[in-house]
Amino acid sequence: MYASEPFVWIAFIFYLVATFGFAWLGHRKGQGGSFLDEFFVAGRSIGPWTLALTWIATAASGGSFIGVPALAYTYGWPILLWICSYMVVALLGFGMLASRISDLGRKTGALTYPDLLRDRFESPAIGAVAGVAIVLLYMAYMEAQYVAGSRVLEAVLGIPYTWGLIGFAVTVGLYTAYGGFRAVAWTDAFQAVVMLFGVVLAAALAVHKIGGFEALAVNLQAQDPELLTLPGPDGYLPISAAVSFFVIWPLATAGQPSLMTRFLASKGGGSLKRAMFLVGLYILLLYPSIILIAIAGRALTPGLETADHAMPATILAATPPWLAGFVLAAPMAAIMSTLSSFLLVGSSAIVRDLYERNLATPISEQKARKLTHIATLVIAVIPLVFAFRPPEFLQYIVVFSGTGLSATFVCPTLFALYWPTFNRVGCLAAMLGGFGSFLFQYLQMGSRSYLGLDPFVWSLGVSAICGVLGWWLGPPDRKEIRERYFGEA
Amino acid sequence: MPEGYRRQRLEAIVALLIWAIAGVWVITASYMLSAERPIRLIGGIPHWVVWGILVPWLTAFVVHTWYSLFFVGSGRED
Repeated sequence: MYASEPFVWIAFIFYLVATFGFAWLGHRKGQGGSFLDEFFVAGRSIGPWTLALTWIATAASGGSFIGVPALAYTYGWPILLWICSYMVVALLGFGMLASRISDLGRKTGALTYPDLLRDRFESPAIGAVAGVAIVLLYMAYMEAQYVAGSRVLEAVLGIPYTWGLIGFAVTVGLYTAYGGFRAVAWTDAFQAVVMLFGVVLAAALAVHKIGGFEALAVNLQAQDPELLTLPGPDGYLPISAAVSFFVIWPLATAGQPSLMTRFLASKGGGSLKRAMFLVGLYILLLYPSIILIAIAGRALTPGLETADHAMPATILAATPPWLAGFVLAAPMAAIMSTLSSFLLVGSSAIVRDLYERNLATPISEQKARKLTHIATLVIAVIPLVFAFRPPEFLQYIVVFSGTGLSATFVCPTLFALYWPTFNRVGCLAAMLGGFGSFLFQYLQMGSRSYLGLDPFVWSLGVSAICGVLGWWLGPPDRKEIRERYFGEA
Repeated sequence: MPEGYRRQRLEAIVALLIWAIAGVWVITASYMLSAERPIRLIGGIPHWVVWGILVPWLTAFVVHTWYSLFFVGSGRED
């Protein structure tokens, strides 16, 4: 669809080589120590810069670079309100969870998020339910990432969809299985830098090319004045949706197991403080730039057949060819970094939560290594098979799996971390209630539930109520647990 | 109850409060200012975007900086 300039190919190849280079360096650095400890949490040695960059690279998926620009291209400035609760995403994600999860991870030796819940409640059932939910929902999410990445390759480089899919799966599967968490974190960090520079540069060039903000406003007003006002064209963003999304983005991000796992891998303490600051700064630069690119794209490349092409089309229209390849690597970086993190959290759920923790004796290093590599490759392949025939309702799968995970885990996690007498029955009830309520609303009403709010918002309330009821009906956990986690008898 | 846990609980509550305040500001200001006609622009950007989103976002970042670098307690660093 777009011109495949040699410079674009060169930049892409350079980007891939650099990604493998960082994975190799990460793997080398991680030699020694327990395999599972190193593979899943990098020996809890991740410093502030890498933590910040891997956190944001995981949080910003293909949706941020393909789906969000498509919406901004179609609906204009109101999408900035739709996304702007990212202003507090780092505050909530780190402020509510980082320090506590990091401390408890060190205290209990937890390697995964289900590990944390399982140990907190001494319940293999909770670990298993959390592990299964993570594997299933993240595989659905991965399918969407594969499709998004292959479509970018198809649109920008002209690589056929099927070959793009295979290339994506092989690339990400290889470096994740090879290097584990440290390699993923280092490649994420590199990819996050590519994402930020690419996007900020593209936004500045796009606005410059139009002739500045005044010229952009005149152009948009001529096309459709609704692009500049709320609720936007076709009444896209009523106040109920704005309220929903101010709840969804911060809590849905905070509740992602792939992000909570990153706190287990951090050095803790001062590293977390600095990482939190860096994530806030990164987000301040990233998301307004993404929206600006798409809105400028509406003026630079009006009438695109597919709004999903808004980001690559605008980049190609606004940047010189020698720079376009570098900037176009940004969406690829976002998709690859998210995929690798999902792969890792999925394989850890299988090997650690569903297998190793249910054995009477620990498995050998060699067996752990072999199983982890197999699990990583299997999790890479299953969504790939489904991605060969992407369903029409793909976007529903993305939203469903992303917010579904958080509807399942936000309340149980907060209760587990901050409520000393919260018990295992309450935790299971909160998980099942949150997910069940979300599934029911989504199947019955789609993305607009009662009062026009998103199903996720109501599911949080249902999850909390189920958690309280379960706590009330269930037997108390052992006193030793309260002592261990809260210092009280 | 250990000081570390109490401190972390306070930090979580403050984060939730900041989120709630930001939400009320952003949504109220954006919808109220966007209802004005004709559309007002500040430097080519809609008036409601400046006062309803950009200014709160910058304010939130200032608060975020205070929160992350000064308010959050320093734990152990291995």
